[in-house]
Amino acid sequence: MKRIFLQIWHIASPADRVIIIATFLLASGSFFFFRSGNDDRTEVWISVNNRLKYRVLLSQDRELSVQGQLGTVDIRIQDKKVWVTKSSCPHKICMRMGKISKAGQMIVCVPNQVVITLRSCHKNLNLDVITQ
Amino acid sequence: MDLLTVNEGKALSRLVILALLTAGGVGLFVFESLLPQPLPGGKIGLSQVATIFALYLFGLPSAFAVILMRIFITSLLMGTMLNPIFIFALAGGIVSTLTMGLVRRYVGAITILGNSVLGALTHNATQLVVAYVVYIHQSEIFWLLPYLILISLAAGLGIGLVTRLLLARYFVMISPHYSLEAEGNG
Repeated sequence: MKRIFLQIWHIASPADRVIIIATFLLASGSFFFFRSGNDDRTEVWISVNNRLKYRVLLSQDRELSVQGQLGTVDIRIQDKKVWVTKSSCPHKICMRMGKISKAGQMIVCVPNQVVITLRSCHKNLNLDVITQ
Repeated sequence: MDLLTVNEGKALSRLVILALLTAGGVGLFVFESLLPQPLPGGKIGLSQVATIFALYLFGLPSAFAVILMRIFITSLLMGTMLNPIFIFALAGGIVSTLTMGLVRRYVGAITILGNSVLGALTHNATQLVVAYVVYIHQSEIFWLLPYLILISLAAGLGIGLVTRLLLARYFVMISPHYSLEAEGNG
């Protein structure tokens, strides 16, 4: 492999070498360009009783407290993940739904009627459903 | 039996060589489609050897003849006529061949190696843009760009090297001092 590349490098003209290096730089540059603008635009939508209460960025760590039908629901956003830390519902299913981090996932607390969804605000991301 | 004039003979040999190149391109394309393709857009583009060979031997119109015939024949063979794959191949083939032809004509400093890399880059970029404009409409597909550029670099260098070696071989073969016996395989 190394020998082949050395041979190519040897027979390449100066302009060819410029093209090879420029292409490599372009690849790494676009790699970092697309990496940096990654998931910053994913939003956490929290609604109670079908009313949108909070709409915050997933990339900002914070703790939220929402008034549901039965009482408060504590939600934590940290390290680009969302989960329910404390809930006033009897079965605590929403707490056991774990941490979500990808657009399209959701956590639901049925007794409190609290729904937490992750949405990407990319214009054309119109998925119907995400299965797991 | 009438003898051909020199010009007729040249045109005839050019026709035969272009037909052989097209056939070779079709064969390489079918062979490559049998290989596993682990990455999207990760085709090597072996059949482009025929196109670049024709480009450097006869110029841009001949390269266009080879690439267009190759795309039509392979799409008939593989059953992809007029579906998205065919349109991607057509767009990428036309744009990359045009780029390589113009570079060969006007930028003398770039040899077959760099030109082949440029062809691979424009081929992949055209397909990505066509996919975005016509079919997918999601800017997420440009995430593929870094991988496609790297693959283009490697594939372009490989194809350029192979074509360069083949061309050198061809020029040795048509030189007046060449004899099959001297090679030991005649």
